[in-house]
Amino acid sequence: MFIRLVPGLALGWALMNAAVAAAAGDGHAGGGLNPLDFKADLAIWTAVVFLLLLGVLGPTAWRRIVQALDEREKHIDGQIASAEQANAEAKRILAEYEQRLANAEAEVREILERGRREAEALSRRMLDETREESRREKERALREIEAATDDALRELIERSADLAVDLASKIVEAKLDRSEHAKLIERAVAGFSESAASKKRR
Amino acid sequence: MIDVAQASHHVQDAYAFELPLGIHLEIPQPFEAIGFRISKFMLLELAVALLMIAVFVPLAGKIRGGRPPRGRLWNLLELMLLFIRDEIARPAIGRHDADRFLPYLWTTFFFILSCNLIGLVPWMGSPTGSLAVTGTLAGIALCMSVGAGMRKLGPVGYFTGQIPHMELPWVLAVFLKPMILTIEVVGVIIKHGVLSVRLLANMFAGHLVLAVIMGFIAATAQSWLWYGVMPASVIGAFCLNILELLVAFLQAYIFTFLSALFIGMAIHPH
Repeated sequence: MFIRLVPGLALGWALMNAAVAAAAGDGHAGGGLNPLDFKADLAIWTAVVFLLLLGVLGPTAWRRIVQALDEREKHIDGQIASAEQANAEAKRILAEYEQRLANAEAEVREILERGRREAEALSRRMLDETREESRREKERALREIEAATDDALRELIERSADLAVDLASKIVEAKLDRSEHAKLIERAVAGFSESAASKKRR
Repeated sequence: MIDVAQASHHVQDAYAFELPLGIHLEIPQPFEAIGFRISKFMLLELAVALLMIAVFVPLAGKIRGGRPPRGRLWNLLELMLLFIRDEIARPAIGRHDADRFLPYLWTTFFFILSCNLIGLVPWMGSPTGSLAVTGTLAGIALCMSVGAGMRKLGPVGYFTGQIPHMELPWVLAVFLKPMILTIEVVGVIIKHGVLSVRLLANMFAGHLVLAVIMGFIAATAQSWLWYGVMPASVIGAFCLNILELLVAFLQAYIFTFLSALFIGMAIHPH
């Protein structure tokens, strides 16, 4: 690079030298105060020192610094990328867990609801069964009472018939007179009506 | 009276160091026999170059492999390097080409900055206060931009790229285009010449003003005015030194920035 520069440098320096020499042509009268005083040896020295400095620092410092800065940038870019990736992953997991939590809540609600519904149904069913049972019990009692009443009536009728037969045979045996006969009937009727009345009372 | 020539003596190049207590330290001249005399500015440039090598080679080692630098000085230096890369080279030259010119731009910036700053060290001087130095640096900048343009576009392509694109009938083009090319080429040379004069004028004028203000003290030494002039001169010189510190950085920045801009213009014509 420097070798390519040298001819151009020489040209530029020569141009500058000529320009300055022309400009400074009548500037020397001021007794040493001439800012445009151009010293060729200092110019060459400057060029040599500068180009040598560039040549030394180029490979020993500048190139390595550029490399280091590039590496650091790459490193930082990589870190940013991995941080972004980790962030995205964390967000994804968070969303997943939130979803899971929401699902669990819904499930719990459903379970509670179902339990409540089942308990209600069970209690209603038990109540209905109890009512039915008691109704059936009552009916059975009534039927039994009815049957007992019928039995009693039947027994009464049978007994009154026996009594009538018995009475009739007694009348026949005794050959009753008219008045005794009437008294007898009266007594039998009274006994009957009495037993009928007592049954009705019952 | 103030001897301006005497004052300027402290600003310009010399063959001796004027140290305190009147010590006059002549620079040894081993090459005088072959007509070459070592001057103060030459030694200071050499010192600046050695200082830069002593600073930036270790810095390269410290940040090797992309490690961050530890310590204020190293971070400050790296900040400046990054500033030149990100705020000067890449915007002016373009991200793709900029890194190739970084060694040149970094060397230029720190060389000029150090040369400017060493002038603020007592009994030293600013090599950038001499046209030979600024002119040579501008000449190198010219070679860089022309060389970069030719390398990218070819010698012919570089020069034809200097001509703005115009729809001309060929009769006019034959006359106008060479004239425009001449103007553009002269313009490029002048732009680089101005680069050297700007830096020179800033450094030379700044140091001259400082020298003259300090010269007031010597000028009034025999009079009662000295009691008023001396503190005013010292305070004024102190403030101007602070200003010079700013100018030292500013001019190094401007030189580097314009240099990068010219390279950018050379490799991206219009």
